[in-house]
Amino acid sequence: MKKELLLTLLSLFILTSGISQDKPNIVYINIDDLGWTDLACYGSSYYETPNIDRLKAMGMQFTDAYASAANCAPSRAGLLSGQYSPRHGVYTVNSSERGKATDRKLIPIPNTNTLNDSIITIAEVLKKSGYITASMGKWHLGEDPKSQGFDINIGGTHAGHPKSYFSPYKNKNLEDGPIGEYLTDRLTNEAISFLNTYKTDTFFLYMTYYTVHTPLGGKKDLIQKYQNKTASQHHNNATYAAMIEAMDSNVGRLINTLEELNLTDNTLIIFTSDNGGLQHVSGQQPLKYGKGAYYEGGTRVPLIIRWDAKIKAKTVSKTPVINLDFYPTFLELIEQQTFNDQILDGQSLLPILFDQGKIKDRSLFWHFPIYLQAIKGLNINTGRDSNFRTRPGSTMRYGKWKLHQYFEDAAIELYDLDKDISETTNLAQKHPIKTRKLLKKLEDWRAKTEAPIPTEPNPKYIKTN
Amino acid sequence: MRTNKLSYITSIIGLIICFACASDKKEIIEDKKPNILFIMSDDHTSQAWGIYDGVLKDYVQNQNIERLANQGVVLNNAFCTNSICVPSRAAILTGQYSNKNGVYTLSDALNPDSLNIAKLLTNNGYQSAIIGKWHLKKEPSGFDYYNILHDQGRYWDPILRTSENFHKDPEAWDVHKGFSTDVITDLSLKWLDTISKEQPFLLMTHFKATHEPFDYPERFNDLYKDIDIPEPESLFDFSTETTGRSFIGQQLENLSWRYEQASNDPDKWWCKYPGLPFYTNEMDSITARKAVYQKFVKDFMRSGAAIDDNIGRILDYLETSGLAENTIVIYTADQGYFLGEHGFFDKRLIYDESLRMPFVIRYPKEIPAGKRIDDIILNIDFPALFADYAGVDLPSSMQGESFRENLKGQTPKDWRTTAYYRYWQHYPVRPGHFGIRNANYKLAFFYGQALDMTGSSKETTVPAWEFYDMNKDPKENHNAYNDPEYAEIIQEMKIELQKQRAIYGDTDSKYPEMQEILNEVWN
Repeated sequence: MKKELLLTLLSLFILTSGISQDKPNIVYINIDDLGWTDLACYGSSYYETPNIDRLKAMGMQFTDAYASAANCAPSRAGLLSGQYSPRHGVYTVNSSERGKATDRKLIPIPNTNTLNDSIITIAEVLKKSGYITASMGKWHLGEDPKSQGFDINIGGTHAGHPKSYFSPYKNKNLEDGPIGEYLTDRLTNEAISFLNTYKTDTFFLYMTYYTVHTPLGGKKDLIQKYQNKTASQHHNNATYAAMIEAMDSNVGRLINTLEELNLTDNTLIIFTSDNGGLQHVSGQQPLKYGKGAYYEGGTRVPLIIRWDAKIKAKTVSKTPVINLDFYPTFLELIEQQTFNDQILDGQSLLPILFDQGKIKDRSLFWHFPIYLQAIKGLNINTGRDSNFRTRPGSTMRYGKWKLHQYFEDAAIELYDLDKDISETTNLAQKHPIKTRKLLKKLEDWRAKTEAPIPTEPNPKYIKTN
Repeated sequence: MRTNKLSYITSIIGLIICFACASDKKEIIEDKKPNILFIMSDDHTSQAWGIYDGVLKDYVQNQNIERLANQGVVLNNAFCTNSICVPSRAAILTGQYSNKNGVYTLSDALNPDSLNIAKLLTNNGYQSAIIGKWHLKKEPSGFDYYNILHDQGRYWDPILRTSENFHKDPEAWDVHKGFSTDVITDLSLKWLDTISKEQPFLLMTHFKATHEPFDYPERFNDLYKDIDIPEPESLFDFSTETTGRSFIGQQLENLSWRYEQASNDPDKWWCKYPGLPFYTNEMDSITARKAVYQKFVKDFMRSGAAIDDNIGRILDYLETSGLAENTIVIYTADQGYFLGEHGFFDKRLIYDESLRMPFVIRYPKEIPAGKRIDDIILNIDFPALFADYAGVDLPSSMQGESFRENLKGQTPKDWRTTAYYRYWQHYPVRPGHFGIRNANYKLAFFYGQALDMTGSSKETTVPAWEFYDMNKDPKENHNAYNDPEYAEIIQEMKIELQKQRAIYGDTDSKYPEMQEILNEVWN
């Protein structure tokens, strides 16, 4: 009820304020689980991504962009709601009690698996502002993105990964193509036909490819190509490389379509990922660990933004930004004020994008009162221990500083990312005052967002040493 | 219309010749020097001839190449000494390596004062002509008649220059309506119509085809229309790691890029490709390579088909005119070309696809029919062979040797067993290199320096060796230079390489930077 009322008010507001005629189209391309190191233009010598490299050369590249969580659902919930996890309660994927019970010291905070309908997503705002909104690919935040502001849903369900990358897809929201059709190609075909249909309208295309998430599935001949290519130390999975190349060529097709339709002057194109790369598939060194952990490898992502008429080509921004920033960025773009009820935690990036100065000094926060087990059978050191990719905690970034706090053992870690991007040297003891000040910021933020901290001991826990 | 008229004329000539022969037949045959009809195409590589095996052999149109092969001898191992148009043409005319004739790169010109085979034969009673592609910049010398394409020449309505207008402004040059290969054949037959039947002739008919942009006449528009051409096994060789090469080579993606540029703005690109627009930029690398291969190789074979039917016209002409018996007919290409092998297009490299010159020769009077020989023949040997047939002593400045006896099946005991090769026009993707090939092995040194070469890149590459076992690895997919099994053979071949360089005077003595590199690597 409350949400409907808000939307009505919102549309009234928009109607009375008059709709600007030259609102840009928005194409938001999300690659699932694509790590910060997983593109040639972000340093990979094994993966080949000429189309994304070209996109980079035509827009702005961010070196310090973050997802609002280290795995898919919470990161996407943050993007669409514009809010930090404690506000929407999506902290992880599925249960917050993942991993062996006997290894878990605390009872974690229960997870929310569906983005609450009371939240007004950015898609809803755009739709009300006259945008045609389409979600193509993975949704993961409920049964159907149509309930959260999307006019069109191609292939989006509650599932976090495809059953198969090749048709038949066994996806209730995607009709099967010819046997053997590749899902990544198919989604691009759908997007191209969408662009051709709505080229004269104003549209928001949430292009949320299933690739490059597991189960790994690449085209045979591309896999063979990478089997023959000398791998690098941390990038050496030919199937993953084949998926990346197929993804890249599809991003190329999408961008080419925008170019052919003469839309690039009036389209904001965003290319990014929802969290870090899966460490055992694609090593994220020099970043520490990967997807699921709250070290840099888990949350730092590639981000490239292109808008021919507005953003200078070949530019690089080192400002730390987070996917929560897109909601207020889009609001500012459509000259829409934020509305009272829904708090937005990000900041508009337009000053950076339009080279009009800095954004307000701020910290970025992550709160994850949950357990996420290590990948079965792989005992790679996950950052803090070998059983979990993360245990309950919070992290924050302020300037060059990265602070970690873990609730089981009250551990504090402080890293200087300028000097130690790999988070190897804990400076908490060396800089007690800095640590205390940062911790205070974190605690204040938790208080403000009413972030729950797990404190109840787990009776099943068995102390091992 | 033209053909009717032509065959009418040729029949009359034939009759006249028959009458002429009838009076004193025996004497004339024994005394008369043979005519030499040297037909050469550009880049029409052995893989596209159909008689050299390979994945295209069931797809190429080659009935007239086969007709020649069935009536004559095919060389299995004729090699180019510098696999690129201008230098190879200079080597064929002068009988000299690039370091002797001064034509090292695409940008160099042949000095009209230098001795060439046309001068030699013209001075010894031959009527001589060159018709078609010349590409050696300055005016041809030594030929009674020339009618040559300007520069590279274009496929459609080609512009040709004769002694009448060579030094005049471009407006004075002749535009010949039609397709280049047809036009060059027409002009060749026309010249044959005009010359004296009492004197022997040397005619060099040089087609532009199948050179890039690989164009073809309308009659082949539908050839290969809805079929897929098989791919060479190394088509998906994408990186140096696959083979152990030290350089990336001219990959098909570069050709895709050219197609793309020409598709974007056809008037700006230096040549006109058929079948544009053609783009691969929305494909992954495998799909893109497959697509550009199909386009490229189909165009190439269509271009080749137009050569084959024109060879047929020439052979028919010789037969109907009665010239066939006393005319040596050769068909060859100025060098080989990569048709997707190693993922490459273009030539220049010492690998067999580029190094090998397909070569067929027919002279029923003394060459057996339907034979193939494995002897190593070089392009500098061609003028020596012509001189031999013409009964002219070979000047000492020419470095090649006549292989007339080889063609009869009587290879001299001391015939060479090693081919020396040198490519000068350095660029990092295809560095300057030299090397040798014998029946079993190939050794090459990529020195990677521009030296003072025109059209070269000043960016050097790290010197690197390559070695291939041509029996175990005939497609040259594995650089075995560091394989200890071959250490001894490689050492022997290095000595042979130095010997070959000394024989041909190609020792880089005037390049201190090369001396420095060579001093380090000979061991």
